[in-house]
Amino acid sequence: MMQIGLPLETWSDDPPPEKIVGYISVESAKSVFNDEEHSLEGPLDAYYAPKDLRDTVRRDLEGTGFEILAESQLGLSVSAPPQAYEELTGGSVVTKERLQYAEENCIRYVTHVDIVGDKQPAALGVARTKSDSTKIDGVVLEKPRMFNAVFPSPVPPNTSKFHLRVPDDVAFLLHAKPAHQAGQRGKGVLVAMPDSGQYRHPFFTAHGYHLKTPITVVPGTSRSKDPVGHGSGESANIFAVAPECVLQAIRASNDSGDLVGAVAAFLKAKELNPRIITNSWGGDGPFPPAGSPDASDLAFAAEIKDAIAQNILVIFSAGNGQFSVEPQVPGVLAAGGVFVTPSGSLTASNYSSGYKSPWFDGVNVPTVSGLVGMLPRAQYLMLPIPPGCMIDKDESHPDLPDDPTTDGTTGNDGWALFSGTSAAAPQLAGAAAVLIGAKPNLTPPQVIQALTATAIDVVTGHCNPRFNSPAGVGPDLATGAGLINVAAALNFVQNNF
Amino acid sequence: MANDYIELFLKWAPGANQADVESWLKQHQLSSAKMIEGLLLSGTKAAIENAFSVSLDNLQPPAELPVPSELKPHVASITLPKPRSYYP
Repeated sequence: MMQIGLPLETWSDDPPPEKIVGYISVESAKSVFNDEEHSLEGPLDAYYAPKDLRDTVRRDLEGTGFEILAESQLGLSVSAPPQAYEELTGGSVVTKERLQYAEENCIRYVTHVDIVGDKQPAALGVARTKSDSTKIDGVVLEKPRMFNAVFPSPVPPNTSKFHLRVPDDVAFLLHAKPAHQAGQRGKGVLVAMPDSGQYRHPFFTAHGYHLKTPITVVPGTSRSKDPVGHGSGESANIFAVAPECVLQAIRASNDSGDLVGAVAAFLKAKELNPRIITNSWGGDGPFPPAGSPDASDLAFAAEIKDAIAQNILVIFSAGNGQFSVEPQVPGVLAAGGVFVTPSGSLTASNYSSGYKSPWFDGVNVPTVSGLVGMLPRAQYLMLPIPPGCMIDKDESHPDLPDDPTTDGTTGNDGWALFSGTSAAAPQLAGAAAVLIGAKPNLTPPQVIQALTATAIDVVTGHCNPRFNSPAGVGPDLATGAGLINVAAALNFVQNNF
Repeated sequence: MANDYIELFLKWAPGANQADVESWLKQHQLSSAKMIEGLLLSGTKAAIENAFSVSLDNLQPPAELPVPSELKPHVASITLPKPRSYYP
């Protein structure tokens, strides 16, 4: 159980709990606490304590602050404050952090309670009494103790790499804060998100965000798991912009994390009749394409158009260099990327796709943009994910030869730096939720009109080199209409619809 | 099925008897959901290979699967779509 640079055991800053549950072994012919005893060979009778001895020990313990929880022929299960254990053993009750497998199959420090002192054994959580007259041959403290800690932390870790935090930085840069201050936070607007799954990270709990119980469409998979971390992390972008919306996550991944149920998840999303479906995924194919969309592309495009016809706003990521049918479907809000530099200037993200649709007349991808990082890895937003998931591990390691750096977090801390147009789509979903929350009768075309008419024009940079479309004055193929401005879009719908 | 789930698109032929097709799919351990132009089929790799007498390992998606003779009057095409992935 080794992690690079981390000792197996370290001291804890947590105080001992007010009550400690433990086990008291009563003296008998043989003892597992004897240094020569290393197995339980032979009949167990030799370890049984005589009843009169157990009764004596019980009375003595009850008289010194112990509560008896249960009794067997070998000993007693007890509960007592740390001081009672210290009085019994002559040692000191302390807490220690030990590295071990914990929840979500991740290795982390877990808080244990131990009794230390000159005559105490080295084994963690094991103690001897200070006097032989107690008729007790050993004390064992309950393990492990996971008190006084929420894991993973709801607060993002610090890292030296330039990045933005959710919710505040994203809300600030997309001008969502004035809308929030005006009372428009997307209250009750249902957003469906087919993706890798949704882990109920303490970040979401701490902020009071409304996550409906996730749904899974791949048989045999757990609705509460997200093996990749993509859905969990990117969903934080929705709440950054619309903190009072309602998220219905739909897991479309198998246990390996592959996105095998995307179409089924999209159909399930439609069934739920949400106001918005946000999709941070798609396919890829040659650009320019050799011919028309294939039959499977058209079949799925028909489903997307049907959702829009049902008054559902459908958002798809433009892609991170990919070329795919989904963001090109007429009526879809295609999410591109704008990078806000450390000095606050705006430039087109060279990570995001941008092109004129060769398949659908008059369609440009993207429509408008959210916040997206730059090549090589777009490590830009600190997002909450399941500890030890694929993204947690991947982003905390170099991606050679393209990127020798890491995101500065550990591979099992439940946080990672990433973005992509996967982040832009849920940001746009949050913006749309704010508008729909303010004006519930808005149609998808009206939402798109408001977001594009009020976007901040981005005039520098190029999109992904595969397409290499330049940003310029007015709408362009690099960022669409530019970076969304939630407050301005809200003002637009309040004045025009 | 958690690691072995595959989706296919089925497109109806004109005048298809949809109930017959859905019954055939059920017999072959395949699930179906209605789409605008047909059905979304799903099942394990083994069930799909058995139902359509193909080896999926030999196909480069998007790829059309052979339509079994029992389904030919009702089904125009069965397609294995391109794989989709996240855009982080």
